[in-house]
Amino acid sequence: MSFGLPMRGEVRWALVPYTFEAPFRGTAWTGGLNFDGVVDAARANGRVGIEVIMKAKVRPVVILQSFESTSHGAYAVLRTRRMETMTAATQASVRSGDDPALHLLADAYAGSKRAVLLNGLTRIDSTAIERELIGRIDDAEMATISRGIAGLLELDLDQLVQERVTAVLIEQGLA
Amino acid sequence: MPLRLSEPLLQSVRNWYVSFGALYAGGMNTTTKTADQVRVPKVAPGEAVIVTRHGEPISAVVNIEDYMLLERLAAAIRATRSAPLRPGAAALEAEQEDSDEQFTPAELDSLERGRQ
Repeated sequence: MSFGLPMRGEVRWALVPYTFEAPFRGTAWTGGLNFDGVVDAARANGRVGIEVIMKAKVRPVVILQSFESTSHGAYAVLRTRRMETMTAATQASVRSGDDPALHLLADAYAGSKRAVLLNGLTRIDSTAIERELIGRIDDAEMATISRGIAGLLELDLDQLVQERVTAVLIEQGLA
Repeated sequence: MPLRLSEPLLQSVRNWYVSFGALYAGGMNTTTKTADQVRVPKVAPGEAVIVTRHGEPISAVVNIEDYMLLERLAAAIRATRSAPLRPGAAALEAEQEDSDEQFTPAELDSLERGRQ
């Protein structure tokens, strides 16, 4: 196992916030507020910034980006979920590959088979990522994961493909 | 095996890809004629015959194997069109967070190794 900055394809422990949703709890009020309530609290405070309390979970994530900078950076990651924590029906769906938003990792990580939640793209700071490596996903499996992300985020790659094919054809003197 | 094309065929490929946008959209329209309707030379695979008029090239004749290869290339490019995906019910269920989820002994060992 190696220590160092997170790199694409690595599986590492991380502190991952839940998706932010109402009711919002904050340090300046009691109970939960809806969006309008938080806006009112911010306006009363006279500042745009406001302190809220978020839930998070310590879990293995798949690192999607490699940053060469040694300064803190935000890394795009995907959450993983242990197979045995899912219902039997969901596990069956993961194993059969029926659901385009769930990818069963070929290897076990931290002692368990895990699925990657392809629809849960999250950005977290490097300080929220464990430096110890759990494992690494190979390039072929990362390519599968990348295709899934592109489809689920509705990224239009047609223009990119066209430009790259044209570039290759020009490079080879075919266009 | 690398694809080897003769210079005339290369030229026809170049011409084809000049209208890359049209190719990407739908491929080339083709018309079929029998050999007794038109006179064309026999062309070996990897070769092309350029037909000229007043010294200007106006069309190319290639072997049917090469033509099918070009069609397959065009179809492969068209097939790269991305289709949006939708998460299924299983993914939506898997997204639900369980705050009471417990660490397994193996997970605790893994976390502990990070502190050593």
